[in-house]
Amino acid sequence: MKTRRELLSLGAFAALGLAAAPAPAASAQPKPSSSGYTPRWGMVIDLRRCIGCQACTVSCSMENAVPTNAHRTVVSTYEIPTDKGPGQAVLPRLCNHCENPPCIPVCPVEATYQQNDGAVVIDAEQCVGCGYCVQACPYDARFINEETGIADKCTFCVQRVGAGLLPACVETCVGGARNFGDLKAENSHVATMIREHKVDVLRPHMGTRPQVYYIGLDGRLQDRVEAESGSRQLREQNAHEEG
Amino acid sequence: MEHGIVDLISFDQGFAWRHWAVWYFLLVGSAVGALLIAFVAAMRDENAPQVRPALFAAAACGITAPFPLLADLHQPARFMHFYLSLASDSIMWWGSWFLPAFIGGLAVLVLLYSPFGVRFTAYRRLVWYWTAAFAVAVLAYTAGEMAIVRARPAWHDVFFPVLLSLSAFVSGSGVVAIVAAVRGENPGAAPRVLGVGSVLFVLGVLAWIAVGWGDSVGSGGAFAELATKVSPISLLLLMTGVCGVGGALAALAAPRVASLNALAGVLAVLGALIFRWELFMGAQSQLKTEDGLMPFSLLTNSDALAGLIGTVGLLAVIVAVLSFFLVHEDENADSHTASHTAL
Repeated sequence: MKTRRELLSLGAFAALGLAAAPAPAASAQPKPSSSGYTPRWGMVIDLRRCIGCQACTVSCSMENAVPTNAHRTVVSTYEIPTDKGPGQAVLPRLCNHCENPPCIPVCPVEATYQQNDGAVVIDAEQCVGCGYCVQACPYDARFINEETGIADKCTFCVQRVGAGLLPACVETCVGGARNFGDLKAENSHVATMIREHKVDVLRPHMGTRPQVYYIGLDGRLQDRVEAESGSRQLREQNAHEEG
Repeated sequence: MEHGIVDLISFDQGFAWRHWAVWYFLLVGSAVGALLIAFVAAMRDENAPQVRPALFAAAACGITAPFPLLADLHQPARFMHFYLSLASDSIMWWGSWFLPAFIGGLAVLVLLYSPFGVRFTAYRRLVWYWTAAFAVAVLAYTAGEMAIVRARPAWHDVFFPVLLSLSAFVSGSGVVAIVAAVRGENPGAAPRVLGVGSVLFVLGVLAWIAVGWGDSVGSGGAFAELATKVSPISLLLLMTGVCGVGGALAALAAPRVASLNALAGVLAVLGALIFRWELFMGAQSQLKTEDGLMPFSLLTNSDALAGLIGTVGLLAVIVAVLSFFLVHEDENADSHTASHTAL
């Protein structure tokens, strides 16, 4: 007879499996290289389906061994005023794998580059940890990994995608909000979503041409969010009191 | 403008450039400023008495500068990757070539002006040109590499490189004034550059903020936002102004009084240091995705304090070593005479 803990675990795995279902794994499968076709990976995040559970945050950290004081992806959560009173808004943030990435030309050692499939990645052996790319990214998507001493960021889980799997955050998205696939393929799930919905990108005026698209993005969250108070203010107060 | 958004879950990535960057930019800026003062004096007369203290100041700051720069790399042992890459799109990559060329020029000048270099004075002018050209290149790359970063609004406009360069001249002339006062040498044009530069610098900072104040445009607007939202920044800004005005008064009031020159020099260097701290650490505390600020600390953490002590200690050692090479003008004249007598 199974214990309650085991049953809960089974239930959780079943939920994860079901949650992964809306994002078709096939769309992440690279086409055979013999065809000479190269996909352009991208992500569409349907904010109507995001419940802000941070499963993506946790799975990304586990998959990519991200240190505890940093994140490659995180779901920013806000209380925003609505016609019916205060409401909650969520905004999963990650590297936008831009078409015009400002982090690449600034790199003085050619450690950061864009793969043919659009993923912006870092050569861990080449990076000197100068932090210039961190400054240049307008999305705060990069950081210096204190354990490795080099720049770090979301890679669309290249190690998983290369093996025909979905990025960890997509795989574990409970609500099926994160969708990953080939933006170039007309019939791919993500291309269809972009065609059939009004999509937005973050900070479009920066000219970076992000390849992470959002459905249902509140205009107040598109650029620098004018948050007047909240968790950051509390952290600052705590730091001030401790200091 | 929307009001009332509360962040329930937010995250800060931390500072990519640490306090070491402040020491580096201060030292290399001062070195460039001092070298250009020495260069102008040397072009009139290579043996003019005011050349020696200015070259001493430039060499002391310039030779120290790469150490905090290396310390700011999170993988300092990989610095050779700069020279094994061809990242010509990156201003920082160009800087990695300009910096050793400039410091190399400084080192050669020190040797040429040392008692051991009297036989090679014919090459001096060429080395002066080389070093001055790379000094300008270093100034351009340090200001340019930050000004192009669109994601940092406090750095990204035309005011920023101009003010950073002006502040380099002010701190450079400040170091020359200190060296000349301590060694009892002729400071030359340094007090004038310091005085006029400080006035221009303070006016420039005021104009920068005034232009951006109204609707938070450009880097002045971002800086004004910092100054109004972060109390340490407004305090620092005030200190920059006091140092600038104080330095200008001290330098212009009596340019031939050594003690006033030294005071003006200390104020100039202090003002430039504080300005860089505001710009580098303050701007990094400004979040890119939210209208918020990361907790901003002054020199309160032990790491920054250790960095300051380490940098000053290293500077002191380099000053001591340089004293053997760039001897006092009077001693140099004696050795010069002795050398000619022996010949």
